Amino acid sequence: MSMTDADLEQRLRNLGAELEVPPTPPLAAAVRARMHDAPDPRARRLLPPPWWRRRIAVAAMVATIALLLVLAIPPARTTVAHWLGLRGVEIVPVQTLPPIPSRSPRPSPSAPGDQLGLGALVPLDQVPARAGFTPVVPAALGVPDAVWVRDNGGGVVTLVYLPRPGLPASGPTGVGLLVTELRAAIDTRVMGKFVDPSTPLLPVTVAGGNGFWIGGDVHAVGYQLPGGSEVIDNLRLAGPTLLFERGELTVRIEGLANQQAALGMAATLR
Amino acid sequence: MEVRPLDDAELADRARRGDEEAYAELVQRHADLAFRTAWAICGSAAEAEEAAQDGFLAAYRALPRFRPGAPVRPWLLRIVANAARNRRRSAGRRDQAGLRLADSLRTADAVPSPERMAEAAEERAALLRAIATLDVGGRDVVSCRYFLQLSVAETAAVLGCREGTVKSRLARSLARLRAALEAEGAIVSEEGAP
Repeated sequence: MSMTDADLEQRLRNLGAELEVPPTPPLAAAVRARMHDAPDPRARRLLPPPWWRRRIAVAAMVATIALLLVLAIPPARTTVAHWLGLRGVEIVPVQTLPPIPSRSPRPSPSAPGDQLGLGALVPLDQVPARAGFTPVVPAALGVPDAVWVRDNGGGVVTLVYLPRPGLPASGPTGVGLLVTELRAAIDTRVMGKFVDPSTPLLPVTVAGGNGFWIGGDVHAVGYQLPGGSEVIDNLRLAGPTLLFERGELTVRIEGLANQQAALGMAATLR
Repeated sequence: MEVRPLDDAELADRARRGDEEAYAELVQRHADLAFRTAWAICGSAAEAEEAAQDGFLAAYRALPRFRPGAPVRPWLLRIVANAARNRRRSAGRRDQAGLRLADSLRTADAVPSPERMAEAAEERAALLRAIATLDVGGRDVVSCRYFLQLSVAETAAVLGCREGTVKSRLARSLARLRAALEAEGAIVSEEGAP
């Protein structure tokens, strides 16, 4: 005699009603009495992972699978760095930009770019000693109005140019132009950039070096602290940026509103 | 004046902000199901009581990290179920989850003949023996779905697996139960059933 699943399920439900279930003890009172006890160290193992950790885990899994797919194709292997960013810079696509910490303006700015957390003010001729390399300078603009060096497990140099004719103040930075230069191994991350879906991200080539034009109004940029930390330091909004590799340096030029102007400026670096 | 009882989410929210009364109310509300869940997993009333207490306390301490607005009941049940499984594991028991038929089976409205009652009792005992042949995962899923009458989604939440896993495990367990019953010759037609 055969029996349908529905029959069997009904019998199981009936059986449930016939089981000898012990009466429920007074749990609320017992729990109430133990609420002020020291937490049981075993209790952590009982908990499901918190929702935010699950979400991160899923995101990490997706990213890992994407990376494995790229690695699985040998010719694509050398372009992995360019997929995710450039030497020392990681580009992270996000749905919405991370919250930007608000910064109180300093009462008396010491030098152009003071508000941007670019490191220490260093005279141009002392930069090689501090940063470990000689920065390239846009010949069209000449000597920067300020030079900052930030030690981030390697020197990160930023040249600041004040607004001038043909170089208006850029919204997110308030200065005319920022040229940031760093030297990094292929597998280290010195800076992180976050781009949301509204931001155009175009691969470009600058004098044979790989690069990206990051258009749109704003994206977010910050320093990744050394030691593989996921902490992003000094996150701020950035305007359109040209990011490219030039020899052993990775260079970013921020403040020019269109790609052609930025590529033109990049060509004058000496 | 009508006073609307607070829903689970509101109680959880109050408890998160330090209202112990609200949490006690939440425990009270779900005590029966939590205890039955723990009992179905541990198989002993004493261990189920301990597991339910541990689970409710762990959940209380985790409230600050509980995502506001998420369903409260499956989350609580899952933590209690984890506590119960830990106890089952540490007791090293993989045997029958202690499911026993009540001594006095409920009688239907129309009192059936003693023969019919004996037959029904034997049928249920056979089903219980068949359940004892299931693996632990199968027994957990059958307990949640049919004894505790949880939905597939709640069963998945309680057991910490995906709904698809619940469904496939259920299908496998039902097939296995049927095979065990057929081997016993215990499948009889429901004569006289409407």
